[in-house]
Amino acid sequence: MEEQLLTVRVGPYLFGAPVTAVTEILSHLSVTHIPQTPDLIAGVAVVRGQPLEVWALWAPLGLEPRQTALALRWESARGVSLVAVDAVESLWSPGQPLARDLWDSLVPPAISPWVESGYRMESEWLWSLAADLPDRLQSSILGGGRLAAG
Amino acid sequence: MRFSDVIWDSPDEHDLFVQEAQELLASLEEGALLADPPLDALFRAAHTLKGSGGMVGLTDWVTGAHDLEDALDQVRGGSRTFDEELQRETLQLVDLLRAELAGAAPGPAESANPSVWELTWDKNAPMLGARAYQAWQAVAAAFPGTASDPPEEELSGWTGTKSLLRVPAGAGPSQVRKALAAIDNLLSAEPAAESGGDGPSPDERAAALSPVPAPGGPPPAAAREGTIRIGAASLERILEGLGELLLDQGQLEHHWGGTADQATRSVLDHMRRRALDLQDLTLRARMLPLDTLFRQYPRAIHDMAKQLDKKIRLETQGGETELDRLVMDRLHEPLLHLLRNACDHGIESAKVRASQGKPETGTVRLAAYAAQGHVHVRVEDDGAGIGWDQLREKAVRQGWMSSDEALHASSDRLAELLFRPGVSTAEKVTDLSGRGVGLDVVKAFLDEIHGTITVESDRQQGTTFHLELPMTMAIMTALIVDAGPWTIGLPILTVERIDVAKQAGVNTVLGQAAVPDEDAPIPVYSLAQLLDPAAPHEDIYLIRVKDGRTQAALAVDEVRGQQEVVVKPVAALASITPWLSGVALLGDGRLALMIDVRRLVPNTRNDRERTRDDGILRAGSNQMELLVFQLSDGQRYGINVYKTREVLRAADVTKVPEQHPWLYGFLRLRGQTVPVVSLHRALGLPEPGPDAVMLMTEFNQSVQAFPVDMVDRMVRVSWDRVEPLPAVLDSAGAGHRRFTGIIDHAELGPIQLIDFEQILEQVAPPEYPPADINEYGPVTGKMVWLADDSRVALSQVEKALRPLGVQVRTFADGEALWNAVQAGKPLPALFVLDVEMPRLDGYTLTQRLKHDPRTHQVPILLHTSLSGHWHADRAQQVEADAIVTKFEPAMLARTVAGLLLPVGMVRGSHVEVRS
Repeated sequence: MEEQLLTVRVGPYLFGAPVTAVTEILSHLSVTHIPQTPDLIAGVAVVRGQPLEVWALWAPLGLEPRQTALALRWESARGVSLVAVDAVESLWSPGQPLARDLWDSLVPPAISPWVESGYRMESEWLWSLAADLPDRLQSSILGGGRLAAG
Repeated sequence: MRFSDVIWDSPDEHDLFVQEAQELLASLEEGALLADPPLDALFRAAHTLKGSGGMVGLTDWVTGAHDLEDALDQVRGGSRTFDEELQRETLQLVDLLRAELAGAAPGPAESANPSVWELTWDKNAPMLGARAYQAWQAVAAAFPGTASDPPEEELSGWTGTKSLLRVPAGAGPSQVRKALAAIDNLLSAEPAAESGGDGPSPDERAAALSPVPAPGGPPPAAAREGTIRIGAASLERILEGLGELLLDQGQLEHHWGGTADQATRSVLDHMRRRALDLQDLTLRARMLPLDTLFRQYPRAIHDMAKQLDKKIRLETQGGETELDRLVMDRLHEPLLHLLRNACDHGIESAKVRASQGKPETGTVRLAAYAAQGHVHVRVEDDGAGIGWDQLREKAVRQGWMSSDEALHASSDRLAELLFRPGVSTAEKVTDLSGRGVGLDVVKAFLDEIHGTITVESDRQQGTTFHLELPMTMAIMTALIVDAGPWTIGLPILTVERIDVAKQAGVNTVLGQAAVPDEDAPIPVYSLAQLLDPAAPHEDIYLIRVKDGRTQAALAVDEVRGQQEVVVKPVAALASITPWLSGVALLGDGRLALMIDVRRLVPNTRNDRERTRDDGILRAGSNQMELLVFQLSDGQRYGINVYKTREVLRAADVTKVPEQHPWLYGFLRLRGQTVPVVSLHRALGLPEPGPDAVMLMTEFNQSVQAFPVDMVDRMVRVSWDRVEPLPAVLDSAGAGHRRFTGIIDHAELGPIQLIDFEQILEQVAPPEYPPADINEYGPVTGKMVWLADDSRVALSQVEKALRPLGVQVRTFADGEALWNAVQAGKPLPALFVLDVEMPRLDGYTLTQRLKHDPRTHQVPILLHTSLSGHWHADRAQQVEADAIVTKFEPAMLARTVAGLLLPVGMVRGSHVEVRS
């Protein structure tokens, strides 16, 4: 059985975050923008004394950057970080994912490395994010696969 | 009798013994490690140790010292030599006696056998806490190190009837009673062992009364060495926790500051004081004397001296200087490297030294001291000094300086060259050093911990490396300021003064805002604008900062004052924003960005000099470094240094039958099979001579070797000096053209640039994407401008992009493409640029295009045969949208398609990079 997903919205798009990776949903965050960082980094927020970087997917999705209202506390091999989302919807147990070649060309290449699987959820597409999403985002800004132009 | 059993008449006597013994043991160790041990001095040391040990009844101690004394006497009498065995015996005795002192000889403040006194107070008397405090004060005045239970700082509110005093050993009962004689309301004062009762044993009481270090002083050694070992990481977590408590307290004050009643304020104040005390205590627990590190080196120097057959002695000084354990742990290797350098390149052989009138034994001195919040470590030697002239020659040879610049360069400027990767002024490479690897690593370490290193050297007088280290990495005193939307922390040690901007006399010097200073104007920068040119700012105050050689005045909007802050790094940002040393949480809940001034302020005078002289080529400088070599025709040819890996003097080539005629075969190098390609055959030249060397290269994502007849040297040349081949020579078809350009070098004459990619393409043709790719529909018909000086590359790229259905217009080099842009032609949807091109290289062209309002929005893909993240960094410096390494046609097509898709579908600000 596929791992349960926490369904979240980033702009109009629906994503699924693996519940094993998400340890907390945080609202009313105070995010400090750090200058000279790529759009992928919304800034730094302090969670119980620890400064954590806040990743934002708006820019690669072609969306306007916005104030971070809600974020998922995400644990990966590299450590803990936050991933900004616009809304958290529900827990969802996915069925069989769609074959990658059916959707790969539909997902913008900028996002593709971060998407693990594609699903049809009622009338919408849902893209499940990789469990090591923050690690992949980090690697992308360090040029390990992608180069931040901004 | 053991040292721990000695009963001392006074703490002073104990002190004196330990001090003398430590000095004697140090001289024994130092003397024993010399190639020519000073026998008389060693004998005297052993004799004195024996005598002083005997006076206090240390039997084992006396026996050991006596045996050594005997052995040394035999050496003096000629019946024995001071051989390795005797050296080992001497060092063993030193270790043994030190262990005796260290293991059982705590300092006077924490004597091994303290006595515990129980004081009984009149329960009807008022202010007993004050009386108990007076009692502690009176006894502590006579016997420093006396501790109280309850602790003295808690006695002000104490109301009990029995208190305890832990008095260092050596304090006689009559002396303690005498000290307490004048204290009122004290019913009795008795040693706890005599008082009986069901309470804890004297030992337990003594343990409970372990002295708390006085604020401002180091913790007593015994307290540090106590019975609990704690990992540095645990201490780090405790410090973090305390930092958070302080933050919470700050936030409470912020929220309640105006409304809290007196009682609440008092609790808040107390909470803050205690947390600060604990923070200080924990921080000090993490500090260790540098001796911890220094004592590892005498043996290392001894071994190095033996290996080098030199006479070297190490002197250490200031080992008691304390340093954060975290810094110290990482200091070992850099220090060892500097010591190695001193022994290997600094100190001369005994013979040479004698001929120069120097003592045969060279001295390496390791000295430490604390000043202005930093720990300073100096590594000095009295050896040959740095060969500045040799370094000047190297600087010119490498193209780092012109002959004239090198001739007039100060030793300070030359010294900076020493810290470049690969620089060594050693005349020969030895097992110890001289490989040009190391000082750059020392520098990198210091950069990382925000320390500095400088070097002074005089020929024949010696060399001194001066390291300045932060005392601790955990807590920093910072000046908190506001700049634009940000709250910023500047290390207080970098702040020289604060001025009101309007009164600071800001003027401009050649267009650069500056304030006057004694020597020269200091550049003024808006801190907010340095961080983000678009940030709003008021720039009311000027903060003059100086960090190492970086000096500037930073304009800020508000100065909030000085604060002790706990700096926390943000891992994800470490490599993106090197100027950000971390963030600090302030009491009001805000986050301060902690700035590394040297990495943020870009354009001070010295930095400008550094930039100009930097051996590392900067993107957009339109320059390259060329390795010049000769083939069997005696002519000179060149290859970009970034394509080369190394030159092998000899290599066994295994021939492979039925291969491309230009392929000799392969060689094995460090487990890798590397094809050997013949430039001679590709260029129609006679086969290489017997002394040919193997040029190992890496480009187009593969490693290959080319035999060449001779390697000349490296030269730095500007791309605008590279001329395309004359038309008559350039008439061959793409498949037959072997050169991309020619340089007429002032010293070396004509240098031809070989089209290595073209030759490699002939030997191993790339695979192209299938022609029926149809996934890139929206990009069909779009215009791509392609600049590459290699016709083969032009043809390869066109072929790779064919499946996309795009239109490609080609240019023979960067200059030709730039001219077309200038001519106002309809612009393309994408530029694909080679990096290495005559006249105008790809980096410089990218920079121009990105700064031209007509083209700054057109995406640029750099297509290069140069591999590695370094080139990705350079591409990023010039704001290229993507960099793809030659030659993967499918990857190139995908990336081009990605860049051509409408914004919002794919592009965003991130594109593929292959490096």
